[in-house]
Formats: sequence, structure tokens, C-alpha cells
Amino acid sequence: MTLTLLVTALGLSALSGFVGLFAPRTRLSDILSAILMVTAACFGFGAALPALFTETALVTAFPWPQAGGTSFGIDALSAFFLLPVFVMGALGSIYSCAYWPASKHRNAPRMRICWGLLISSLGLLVCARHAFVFLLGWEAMVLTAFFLIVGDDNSQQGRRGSLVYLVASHCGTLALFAFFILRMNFTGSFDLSEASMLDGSLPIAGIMFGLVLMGFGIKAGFMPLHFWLPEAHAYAPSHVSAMLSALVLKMGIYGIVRAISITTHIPQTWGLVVLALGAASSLLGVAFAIAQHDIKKLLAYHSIENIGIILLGLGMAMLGRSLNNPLLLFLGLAGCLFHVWNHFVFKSLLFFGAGAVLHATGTREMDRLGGLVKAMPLTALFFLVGAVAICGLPPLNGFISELFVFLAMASSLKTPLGLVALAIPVLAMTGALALACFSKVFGVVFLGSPRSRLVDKAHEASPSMLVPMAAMALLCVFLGFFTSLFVPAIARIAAIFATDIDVPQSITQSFPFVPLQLVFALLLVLCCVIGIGLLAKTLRARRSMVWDCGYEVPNARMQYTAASFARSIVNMFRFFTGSQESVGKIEGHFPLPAEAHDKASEPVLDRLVLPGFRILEKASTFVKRFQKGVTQNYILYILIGLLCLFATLVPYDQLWKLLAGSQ
Amino acid sequence: MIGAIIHVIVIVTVPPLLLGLINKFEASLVGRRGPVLLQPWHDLVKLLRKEVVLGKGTTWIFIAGPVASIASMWLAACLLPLGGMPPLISFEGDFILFAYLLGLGRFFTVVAALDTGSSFEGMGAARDVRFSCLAEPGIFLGLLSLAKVTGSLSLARMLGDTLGAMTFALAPSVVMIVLGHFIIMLAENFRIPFDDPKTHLELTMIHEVAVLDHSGPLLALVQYTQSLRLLVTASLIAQLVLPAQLLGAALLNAGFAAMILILAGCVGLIESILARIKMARLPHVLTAAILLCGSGFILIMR
Repeated sequence: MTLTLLVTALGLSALSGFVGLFAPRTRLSDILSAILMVTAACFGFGAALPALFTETALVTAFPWPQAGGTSFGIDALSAFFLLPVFVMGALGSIYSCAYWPASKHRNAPRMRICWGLLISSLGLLVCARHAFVFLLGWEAMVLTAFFLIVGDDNSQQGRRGSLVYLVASHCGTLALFAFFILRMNFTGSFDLSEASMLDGSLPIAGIMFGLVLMGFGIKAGFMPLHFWLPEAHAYAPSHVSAMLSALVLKMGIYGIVRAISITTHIPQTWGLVVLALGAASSLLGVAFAIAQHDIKKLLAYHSIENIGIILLGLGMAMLGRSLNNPLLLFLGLAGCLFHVWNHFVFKSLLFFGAGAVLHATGTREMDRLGGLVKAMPLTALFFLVGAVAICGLPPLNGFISELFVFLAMASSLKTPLGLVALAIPVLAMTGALALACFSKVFGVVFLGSPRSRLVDKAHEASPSMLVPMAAMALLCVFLGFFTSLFVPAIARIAAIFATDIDVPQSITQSFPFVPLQLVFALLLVLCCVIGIGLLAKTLRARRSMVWDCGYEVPNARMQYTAASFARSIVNMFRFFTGSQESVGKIEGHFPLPAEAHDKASEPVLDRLVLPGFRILEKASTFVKRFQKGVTQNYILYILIGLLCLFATLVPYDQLWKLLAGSQ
Repeated sequence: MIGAIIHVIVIVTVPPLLLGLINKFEASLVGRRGPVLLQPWHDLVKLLRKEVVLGKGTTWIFIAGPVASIASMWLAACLLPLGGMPPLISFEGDFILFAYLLGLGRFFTVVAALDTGSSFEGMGAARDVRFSCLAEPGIFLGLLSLAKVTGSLSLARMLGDTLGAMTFALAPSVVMIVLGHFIIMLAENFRIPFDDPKTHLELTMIHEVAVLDHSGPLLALVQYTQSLRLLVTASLIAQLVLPAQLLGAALLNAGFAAMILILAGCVGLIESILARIKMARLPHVLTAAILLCGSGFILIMR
């Protein structure tokens, strides 16, 4: 029953885009595919929710004769990642009805088809139990996401961003192919379940772990494999950026979790490596984020930071497995997985909000916006909820998952690996930097007064854009209060992740949900009470000038811009981010106009990857000698090839016997 | 039940008294009589009676700023033990909730400052978040060391049991942590040597300028939150240095009150003696505090 629902859901979502081909360029096609996608999501929920809360894992055959029969199925871990897939699919297609309507965009049919195929390939990938099915889903995801990122073919930056994404993803897929083939050689099967466990203490397992980190790491986007992320997110349409950030990155995390779950005897170094990667990604990710001026690039770098936090939780879970410590395992895994969900919720909310701003004003540059809260009050409110959630502030859901990660790291104090707790101040600093970053974004974009004329034509987002944002904001609050409902699911996933460690009930119940709910409720109640106390006076409030130090004509250009707000923090991290600042000279009594520039670049892409590819290009120019376009040369190559092939057919041993016998 | 009510009464009424004490002490150091002890309370009541004046172009976020900071600060105060009185809400890991509640207040203060659209508040907001980035790791390092010493992750046991659980060899580490926390306390409360609470020169203020345009009841909330923040951050240190095992509950309360008075006296003394450090050097002082707490942590981990 569950599997039937799952197959129906995957099939419906794949078909949802094709429906729009019957009535192109009209609103009807948008609405039809949105309805189909929502129906597919309902079926998907029906399949995933029971699998999340029941014990059994269901597996069925996926017909692939040449591979000797493959399988796919659903268990608690797959269901955990499947739920966000369908939620995102449904909400994203509702959002794109207004954001990328068929009446205004020529390629809307292609976008809808690729969206549907992307959702079903994500579902297939998460439910795969055989390497071939997994790779099929993975490749389909990479290709459909590529077509979605390109969006409007007209922008050169969009093409470059999508090409970098494609090449990076395929480098990762190459590593994945190597991983699966090596695994087949050592375990004899391509299965992704307990049937093919590998001992982690073998040296070859270390190489395989490196391949896993490379392959899934490029997709997950932790440092230093993150270089494709910022451009792809910034230039893609906003619902596609939301999908990339919320789901596609998490498929890298899913892959790492699945690969670790089918390995036994994990050495401690693996957990420490993942922890180090997580700490570096979170701190450097937010340092890069704070230097950006483009809303979507900033959100993209923030995704890197949140992937770092997820990796910190995963690293603690892996250390829990190595040290045979169920508390570390549970807390780390809960932090990792809950942060996957929470990041999905608030990052898609923020990208939808950024898309609404882009749709209304036509620009992503923060320094040209300002005062949008008056034209777009609801969008601003939902964006504020997303910003508070992403900073990990109570009473929303970001705090719960960060608390899990903090507790996991603090619990390591009782183990011999106590120095691991040094990651806690790193995470604390990351949290403070994230607060700086998002107060900057919200303040500069929505508050104050408009910094340019682009804000004049801003209008509130249409209902089909507001509904997904409202749903995500409500989900933030709901998960903040009621995450305890999903703890049994985490316990089940812990059983899948670490088959040899049993997490007792006492540990799964040990997280202090009840005091937290009490504090959150008191917080909201106190705020309401004080607000109501002030209400009478506020309604009669007088308006007056803001303090301007006696200057007669203040204007909007005198406000703090995003660059000025973040300048001192950016200076602290200039060594890592490579951002450059040039300030024009103001000299003399009647100075000429001068400009100040602040440029944020992507150092790994510009200094490592692109020069590396250029060196490869130069090194392979010798091949040009063989490809001059002269047909006679090509015929010669064919002749040589044929001669070599014939040479392999000669029975050498008989010839040798003949020659030796005739002597 | 009675203890909880007394706890709530203390955290609601004492903070402005603490501020009045510091002002009185500073005045007596320079030979003045100084304002009445209850002057901050008189000021708060006067401000609450005034009308609300909002800046042109500000929105509901301007009001949300002070409201969110006072609500989060009160809840943070509920998480702390005060002398012999246990905290109202306590669980393993509540020190993280404590730090993030302070962060919630800071977020809304900064966002309310940016709402005014004035460059002064923007400057204050930028400085506020910049120094908090450096203060957070220090607090966490100090609290982590206490967690290692006491083996517990709840503030009540971390602060109460440290002196009892530690050996003599760990004493220098605890001293370093107390010093580091004291520097961070001065930074969080924007006192000398980080910021002069009495100055209103626009280019030199940090926190004062972030809340420059609040007036009337909103200013009352802001000033009250300032004093409550002082009590909360001082309690972290005061509770730490009290030997909880040796004293009974009543003596603990008296000792706690005495420690708070001593800390207030230190703050007043530093304000009267030192001048404010150059703005460019302030990150160095905070880094010194991080290093102090970090060295304490590493020594304890050995």
C-alpha cells in the first residue's frame, strides 16, 4: 500500500509538468500543473508519514534486466528526506504560478516539466536501494536542476553559473561512480542496505570515505567544495534557488548518511574530519555571507554555513558510533536531521521572500532597496520570521536543532575526546555572525527609507506567492514548539544509521522539550502582554523627526548601507574572503565626485578551480595535433585502429609453436 | 512556590536599584552626594507616564525592539540561580538558551535601530553586532570550562557547584575565567572601558546611539533592560565565586547580595578611574577575554 502510494506520487509529479503542454501561455497550465503536483504531494505524504513512524522497511523490485534486478524501497531515513521533497514540490509550484507565469515567460513549460521531473528524481534517489537506481535518480536530478537553473537563457551570468554547476556536479558524480564500483569489488553487491556492509577499518574503506566526501560533498556544498553554489543560487529563478538550497544540497547529506550507515567499525578520524569540515564551513560560510551585497548570493553562502552545522551534528553522530556512545549518537543525529528539516523550512521561506522582492523591484542589490516594509508588509513579516529562525533564536525551530548540536558537542566533555568541545565557541561565533548578517539583510532591504527609485513601483506579492511563505512561516513556529513529535522517528533512523548501537528510551526522552516549550510560550505571552500594555499609547502616538544632529536636510542616502554595516566584520575576515575595498580620494577644498567600491569574490572558484581548469586545457592542447581536420589523417587513424584490432585476433601461441617447431 | 515569587520580585525590582547604587558610588568617589538611590525608579515612572513619540517612517518594528529585549531579558533572568534561590526554569543545556535569549533581544534592538533610517542608529547597530561576535565565544568557553569541572550542563549546577567540585590545582583556571567573564560583562553592558554610558556624543556611542530615538515608555523599557542586563551578567560571576557547599540558604542569599554589591563597586571604580579605550582597540580587549577563558578551558581539560 505504502509503496503503491509512493510510486503514484513519483509518477504524478513527473507528469505534472507535461500537463501544461496542452494549454501553453495561459494561466490554466500553471494552475493545472500546480494542482497535479499538490496531489502528488498528498500521495507522497501518505507514503512517507507511515514509513517514518513504523518500524518496518519496505523494499520492492525495480525492473532493470541488464543489472540483474535492482530494488527500491522506503524506510525511516528515506521517509525523513522524502517529506521535504514533496512539501517543496507542492509549495514551489504554487509559488511559480505567480513568479514565473506562463503568460510572461516563454520557457515556462520547460521549467514546469523539469520541476516535475526533478521532484520525482529526488524521490527516486532517496528511495533507491541499489546503486544503479541511486545513480539514475542522481543524474536525473543533476540534469533537470541544470535546466531549471538556466531559467531565462538570456543572461550570460546565468549561463556561466549553470555551467559551473553542471561541471562541478559531474565531477562529483564521477567520484560516486568510483565509490560504487570499488564497493562492488569489495562487498560483491551494489545494494545500499545492510546486505552489503563494509568494515570501516580497512584502508580501502578510507579511500572510499574520501570518495564519498568528494562526491556527495560537491553536491552538499561544504567548504572547499562550495564554489558552484553562490552563482547557481544567485542567477537561478527564486523558486529554483529555494529548491537547490533546501533539497538538492540535502541530497549530498543523505548520501553521506546512507554511505556511513552501510559501513561498520568507523574509525574516529572520520568523525573528526567531518567535524572539522563542518566547523570550517559554518564559520567561513557566514564570513563570506556577510560580505555580499546580493540578497540571493548572501542566502547561498548562508546555506553553506547551515550545511556546516548539519555536518557538525553528523560528525558528532559518527564519533558516537566510534566511541560506542549512544548519547552522542542520538544528539548528533537529531541535530543533523532536524537541522536538515529546519534549514529546508526557513531557507525556502527566505528565498521565496527574496523572490518576491526581486519580482516587485527588479533588483537583487540590497543597497538599492530599503523601506519595503511599507509596500510589502506581509512579505516583510514572513521574511522576519525566516530571519529570526535562521539565526537560531528562540522561540523558532532553528534554536531547537542548534541546541541539539550544541548538546551533542557539550556531551563530548565526558568522553576522552573532550577537546572536540572547542567546536562550541566556533558555533557560537557563527551564530553571532549570522545574527549580524540577517539583521543587516532585513534592516537594509525592508526598513529605513528607499535608497533608490526602484522601490517606487514595489507592490505586495500576489496571494500565490504569499501562501507558500505563510505556510513555511507557520511551519517554523510549529516545529519550534512541537519538534518532540518527531523524536521517535529519529530513534528509528538512529537504529538504521548504527545497527550495532542501541539507543535506550531514557536517552531519547532526555531532551528538555517541556521546559523549552514553557519558555517559548512565556516569551510570546510576555511580548503580547507588554505590547497590549503599550497599545493604547501607541495608537495615539505623535510623529516627529528622527534625530539628525541638527542637519536641516537629511536624505535617504545618509542611511547605513549593507556594506557599511558589515564593513568592520568583513575586515576581520578579509584574509579568507578575499574581498577588496577601494575608496576614492577626496582631496582639496572643492573635491571631485569619488566612488568607493567593495567587491566580494569567490576565492576557491577564481583562484583554484578556474586556473586549474585552464592548466588542464593548456596541457591537453597536444591533442590538437591529431585533429587538424585533414580527412586523410582520420582514414589513417581508422586503418591503424583496424590493424591493431586484427592483431589481437592472431593466435600468437600457435604461431610461436609453429615457428619454434620448424626450428 | 514562595521562593519562585521572591525570585520574580527580585528580578523585577532590584535592577534599577543596582544602577542607583553604582551611580551613588561613583558620585561618592569624586566627593559628590550624588542622586538618590531610587532615582532610576523615579526616572522610569516619569518616562512611563509620557506619551509615545515615534519617528517619521518607523513601523511596528520600532516598538518590537524594546518589547522583545525586555521579554527575553526577563526570561533569561528566570534561568539564573540567585544566591540560595534556585532558578525558576532549569534543565541540561539551559546556558545555551540563556545566551540565545540575549541574542534575541540584541536582534530586535538592532533591527529597530535600522528601522529609523538614520545613520546614527545604523552606526550603533553595526558596532553592537560587531562586538557581540567577539563576546559570544568568550562566554561559551567560560561556561564550557565550568561544565567540565562540575560535569553538568545546567546553569544552576555549573555556577553553584564549581567551587565545591574543583581541586586546588584548577584554581588559576577559575580565576582566569572569572576575569574573562568580568571583561565580557563590561563589554555586554557597554560600560567603561568599552563605552561611556554618560556620553551622548554621537560618534562615540555604541549602545546608546542604537536606541537614540526611543522616548517615553519605550525609553523606560530600554533603560530597564539595560539595568536588568547588568544584574543578569553580574549574577553569572557572583554565583560562581560563592562556595555553595559551605553556606546555608540564608547565608548564600546574603553572600550573593554582597558579591553583587562588590561587582557593582568594581564597575563604578573602573568607570571613575579609567577612560574609554580607543574604538579600534576594543576588539583586542575582547580577544584578550576570549584568550583568558580559552586558556582556562584548556588548562581544565588537561
